[in-house]
Amino acid sequence: MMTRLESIIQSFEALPDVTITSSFKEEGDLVVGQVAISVPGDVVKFDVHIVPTYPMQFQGMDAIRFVNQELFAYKHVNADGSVCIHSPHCPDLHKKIALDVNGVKEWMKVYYLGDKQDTHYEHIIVPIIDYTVFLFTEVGYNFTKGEFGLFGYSKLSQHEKDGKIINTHVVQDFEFGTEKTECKWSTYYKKMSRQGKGLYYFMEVPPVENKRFAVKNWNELEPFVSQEFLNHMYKVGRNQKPVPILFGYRIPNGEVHWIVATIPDGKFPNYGEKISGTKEYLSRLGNTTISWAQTRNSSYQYFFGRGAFPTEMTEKVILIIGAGAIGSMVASTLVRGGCRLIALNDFDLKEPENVCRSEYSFSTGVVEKIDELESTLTKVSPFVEVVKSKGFLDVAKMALNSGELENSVMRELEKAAMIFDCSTDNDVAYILDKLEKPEQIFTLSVTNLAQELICAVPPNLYKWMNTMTEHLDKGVVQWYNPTGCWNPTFKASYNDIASLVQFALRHIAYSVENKIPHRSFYLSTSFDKGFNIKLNEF
Amino acid sequence: MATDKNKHLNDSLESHKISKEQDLLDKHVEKRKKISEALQEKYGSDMYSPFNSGSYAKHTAMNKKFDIDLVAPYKRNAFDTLEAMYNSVFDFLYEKYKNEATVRKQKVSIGLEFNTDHDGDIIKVDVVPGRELSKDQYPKDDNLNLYVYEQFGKIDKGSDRIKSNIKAQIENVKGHAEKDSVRKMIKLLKVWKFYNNKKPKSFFLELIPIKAFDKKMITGNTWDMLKAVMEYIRDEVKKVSLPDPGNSANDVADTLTDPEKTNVSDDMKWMLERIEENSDSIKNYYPINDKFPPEEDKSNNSYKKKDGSGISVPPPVRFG
Repeated sequence: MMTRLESIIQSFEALPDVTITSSFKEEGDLVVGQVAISVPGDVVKFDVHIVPTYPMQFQGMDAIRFVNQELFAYKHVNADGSVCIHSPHCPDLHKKIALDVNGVKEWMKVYYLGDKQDTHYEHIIVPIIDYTVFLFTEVGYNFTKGEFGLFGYSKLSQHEKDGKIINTHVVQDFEFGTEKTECKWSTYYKKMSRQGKGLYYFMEVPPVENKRFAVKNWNELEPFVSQEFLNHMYKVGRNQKPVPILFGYRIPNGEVHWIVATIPDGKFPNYGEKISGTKEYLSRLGNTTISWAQTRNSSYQYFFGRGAFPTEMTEKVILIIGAGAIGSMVASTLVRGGCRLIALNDFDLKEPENVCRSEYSFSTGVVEKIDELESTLTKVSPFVEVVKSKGFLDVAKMALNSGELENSVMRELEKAAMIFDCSTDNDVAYILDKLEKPEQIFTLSVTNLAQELICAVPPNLYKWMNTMTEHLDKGVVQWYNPTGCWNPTFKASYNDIASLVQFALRHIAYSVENKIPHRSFYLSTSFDKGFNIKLNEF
Repeated sequence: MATDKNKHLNDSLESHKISKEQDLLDKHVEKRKKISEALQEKYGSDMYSPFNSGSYAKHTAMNKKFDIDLVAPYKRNAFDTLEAMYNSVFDFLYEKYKNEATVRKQKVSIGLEFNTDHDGDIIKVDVVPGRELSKDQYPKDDNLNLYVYEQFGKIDKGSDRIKSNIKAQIENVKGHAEKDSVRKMIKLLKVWKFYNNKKPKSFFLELIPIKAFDKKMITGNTWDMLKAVMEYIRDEVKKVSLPDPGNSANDVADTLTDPEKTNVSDDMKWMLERIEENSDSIKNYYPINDKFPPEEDKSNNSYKKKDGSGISVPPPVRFG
């Protein structure tokens, strides 16, 4: 039987446009060698590195690398000089090598010989040395070339991965002269205590060599920054404290992108070089390695770029009444879908028995539901503003028939663009039915065992809710009835309820997005040849 | 217990009879008369005699919304453009009634909603300005041009020529062979529209049951007929043509956009399914006017406990 090394060699030898120029051998866990790959018009040599998982991937990456350090100027070349290829999955070693070589040949035709210009922008490649991370977002300010100043940041977290400490910070604000502009995080994040301040410099174009690779040494950065900034950097450096430095530039779509260098030991690379024949000095940067750290653009459009609710929902005030199983799921789903303005109303405490079928944690103990939910939501999204009220609906009930107060309470409710009533309180449904607006009110509840989910909307929300509830009432209730008085509750798991809540929210969002008038509906479930959810509208 | 659908619909119709609100109707008629007189005083020989249109004139009104329309027919030379006519009438009505009513521009009419009176009633009258097509033509054929103030359905805002012989519209219902059945269906659809805040114009809901009766053999009791009409709307509304009896070149189906027609079709589809599934649903779609409940309900409205045991148990309700 052939060894793995022999199989690899045989696979390359069998390929028509490939010549092995340096024999394959085992180096530790790796198999390495060199091949020349030809396409019509040229031949290029690549060092080949194959890791033991090949033809499977290794930690989400292809486990074979075709490296040539002279190809940095070309597109889709990684920091180690390897060509970026993505070939189809194939568990067969021989076929996979053929597929990967084809991938390299395709790259050669398109980017090496063809010099194709991609419409999709790829960020520059920054050789990370410091694993500190800075998260940034938009600011309401237009940076100009050569501008520099201070930025404030807060520490978000500290974790360890593979023996390396990863500190994550959020960029909070930029100071220039006497002015300051804040980053557009939610109030919760803006209020975080400041960990420290760093320098920023806006250079308009990225500090790169070979088009796409961030410069590695401080002296290579000199052409991209002004003497004024270097002088300022020199003054700051005299304190010999670790300071992060953000370098900003515009990418083709006009966005500002930031990369960050750190000076962990406080030893700035600045020095002065006397200008001959004068008494003046030129500010210079030494030939030392830049400790590039990591940045992430976490602005709203990237944070929710993968999927969000329509803007008719994300930019409007959404009131959620009742923070039980359904209410907490609705709140969590809306916030993960990019909704920015959430108002929560509930008077109840979260108890341990609530945890198993809602968006709460055991670890927080007995706590106000809206307090924990606010905390959960703000941990998910740095863009959500949450306001809370406990007794508001009680006031509404008391005020229902009392003129001015009724009006004022009702008008407060009408400030919301959308109301999700998850309270299962018939009084609340009755009150909501009396509102002139918003048009978008959804009273959500489930029947026992979560066999159905009921969603009533205006007009006649209260009537529809009762009609549906009565119609779906099976008459026999299987309570979960633990020891003690007044503890019985309905039976249903998180999965039972969440599957219906998610379906309902998807349906509501679809109607919003397509401007289809909302209807009352109920979702019915069945287990006819598997689990089914059926939409029944009114 | 299941709801008797036919009985319920008849009860609903009875409770919405216009005669039940005779005093309120009288107030509307009186207000319309005063507006008519004011218009004639203002425009004098530039106009012909205003006349009543709307569903009351067609005997298809229900007592929750009277649809008191007043058509103001102007002579050809009274205004250079239909827009000028529309704006002139609006300006006049606004100045005259601004302290006692909200006056607003609507699709082809000017709406006057008078402030709540001492009985707590609100009177609403819509004034529809129209101009004859050519000099001295109106007395011969009753045709008028209307001005479209805002887009509705497929009809563009600012389009200034909806020719419509409104008297012919009135005759269209009055003269139908099955006018009693047709009127019942129209009234029920108006009840549905009113309580469920639905989009189609009343005129649309007047024409489509007539079309259904003309195209299908519709017989039986009230529920049978309503079911057949709803099925017709469900199946045909997206493709049906509803020529305006006042001017066959006008298609009243165009007062709804295609998505709005789809929505009406869905309304009927879901309504039929839900009523089939649970007859009680019909009470929400076609409610009884609470102000005029059927006789047997008046003596039967005391609160009854379902469970006389007195023991508190969590009711079989909804959860969340």
